[in-house]
Amino acid sequence: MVDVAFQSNRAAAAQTGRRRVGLRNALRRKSMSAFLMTLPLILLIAVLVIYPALYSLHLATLNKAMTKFVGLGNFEFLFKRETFWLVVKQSCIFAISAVVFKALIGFIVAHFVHNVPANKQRKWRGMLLVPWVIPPAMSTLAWLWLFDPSYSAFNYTLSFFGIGPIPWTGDAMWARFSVILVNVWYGAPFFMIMYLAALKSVPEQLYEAAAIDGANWWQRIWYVTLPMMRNIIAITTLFSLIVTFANFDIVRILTAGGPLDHTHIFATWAFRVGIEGSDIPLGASVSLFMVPILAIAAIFILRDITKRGNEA
Amino acid sequence: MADVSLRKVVKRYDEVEAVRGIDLDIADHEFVVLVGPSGCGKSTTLRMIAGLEDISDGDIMIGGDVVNDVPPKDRDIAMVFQNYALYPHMTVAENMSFGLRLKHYPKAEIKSRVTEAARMLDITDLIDRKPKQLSGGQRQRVAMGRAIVRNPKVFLFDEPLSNLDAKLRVQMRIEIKKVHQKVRTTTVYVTHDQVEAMTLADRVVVMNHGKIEQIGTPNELYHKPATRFVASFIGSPAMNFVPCRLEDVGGKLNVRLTDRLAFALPPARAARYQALSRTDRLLLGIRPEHVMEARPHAEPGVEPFDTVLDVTEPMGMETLVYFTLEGTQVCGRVNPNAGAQDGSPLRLAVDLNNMHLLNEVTGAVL
Repeated sequence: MVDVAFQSNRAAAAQTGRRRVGLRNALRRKSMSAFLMTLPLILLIAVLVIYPALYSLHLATLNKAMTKFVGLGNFEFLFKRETFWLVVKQSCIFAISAVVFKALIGFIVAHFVHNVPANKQRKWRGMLLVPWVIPPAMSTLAWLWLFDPSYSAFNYTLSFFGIGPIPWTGDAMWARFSVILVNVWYGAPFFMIMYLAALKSVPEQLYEAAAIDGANWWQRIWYVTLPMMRNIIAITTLFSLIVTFANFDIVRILTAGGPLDHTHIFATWAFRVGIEGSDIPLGASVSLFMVPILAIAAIFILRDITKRGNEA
Repeated sequence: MADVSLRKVVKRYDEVEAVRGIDLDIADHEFVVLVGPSGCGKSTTLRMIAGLEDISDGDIMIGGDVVNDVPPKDRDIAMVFQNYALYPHMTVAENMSFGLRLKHYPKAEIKSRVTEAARMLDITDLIDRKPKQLSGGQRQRVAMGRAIVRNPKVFLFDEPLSNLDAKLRVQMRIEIKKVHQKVRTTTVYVTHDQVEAMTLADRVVVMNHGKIEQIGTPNELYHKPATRFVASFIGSPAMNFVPCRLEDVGGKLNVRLTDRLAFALPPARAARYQALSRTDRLLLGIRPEHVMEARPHAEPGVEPFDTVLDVTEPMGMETLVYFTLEGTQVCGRVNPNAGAQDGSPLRLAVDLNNMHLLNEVTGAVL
């Protein structure tokens, strides 16, 4: 009896021993310990990102009262609505033109700041970053006043030249121009600071070598600066494309999507139909449309980066 | 191919004069090395020839034309940089052909020039690689290849070997010399390493504090330095300088180093220094190889003396010995079999036929 108990004890001990060795081996494997170390972050992402994402997927399949599963019914409904296609078009125009101008202006301004003597550069950098550090909700409010049709500084100034008054936020084309302008104003400093950092990391001797090789100013930018900045340009463009596509505050405050929905983009329209129109499932469906568009952009841009990753 | 001339060239940075009026004539096909300690203005001078720095005063001529205001790309020069400055996103071939492509050379000619230069530098196998995949020595070859394919009037080298390890440096030094023997392009080469300067140059230009101290062939600089700076800069271990004065003893001219140590000057030297004042504070300049172990038979001009060694450094083929004369450390080179030991006495001899006498105040070699 005692003997049997003793033996079973020993068997159990051997088993736990084996399990402990197994755990130790697993921990010894790099991938396992790496996984464990990143687990807290993975959990955080799961709670804050994956759960809401799945939840919005779920919401998008419900009816307006959120009581019935309708499958892809919301999407079918959206595809039939003209406003939806208007929003798709406007989102693309808004995001692409804003990012292009932000990148272009950021690149040009970065060059100017780069050429400012080092002791004055800090001042310029600080001043040029101001639009980016003011909360956009506040600065957009200031822009709203600047754009006011009857009493604004813009129209008042233009009146001296016999121009205007321009309906900055009242006309479809002007309203689109205005939201893009404010977004460019807000986002260009980010590009400027990223490009400035990239410019500073280009060795001066490459430009000297290019100058001796016979490159003029434009050729130096084309053959030295741009290739050396390729990765940073790709990453900032992608990042900005995502942020601009998902922009909400500037459009919401400046035009609230008007006039006649002509400045709505995905986020503002999702808010309009989902929150203001009390059709949360439809709003969720609208906002989900950003995902495939951005995913395609991300794949294209990031693929290029990994391809060139081991070059620089 | 062209000659290069500098006329009273000055470079000022705000208050500081980096280059203080230098005159230099470099003949066609010549290999000239600018050498000096850091901050002596040698790199600035090279960069002014390249057109990468404006000149504050004076004229620079390449092939007889004043190029003061000509931008680098129109000077028809090629430069090799210290850190190679290869374009990281281009392959070796693209790096080498970049200048030719900008000038819209025909494709066939570009290809043949690149192939030829790659063959000369032994980098044919690397032609499709990116700079990142190359070792330091290989990158240096590519940088030289980029200069060669352009077939410019002048090659400029800015400390091209200082990023390489010692062994590779010796190897690349020989490569550079071989390349110059083949292409014979006028070359200006900057280095702080006097060995590089001596081994590569047709003529060496020694610079100090923004001025030229002396221009001459390596042998001239070594055997007939004009100033104390050149005498101490060229040669390793450096020349010894011992305070001394001249005195007449029984109708003969002696050089007195200490109260107990004086040497009679050999006739040729005595004649040369006869006119000097006996009260001047002078320095005896003597290279370590002219301080050796005393031989049993007397040689004219070689004067023996006894000393106690402080430190010895066996180098294999020779032993460096260090001893002190009136507070001045002196280095000598003796045969490894001469029995030199730390702290032991040794009978040495100084070869006064190869001595230099310098003015202690002005530093001029007399």
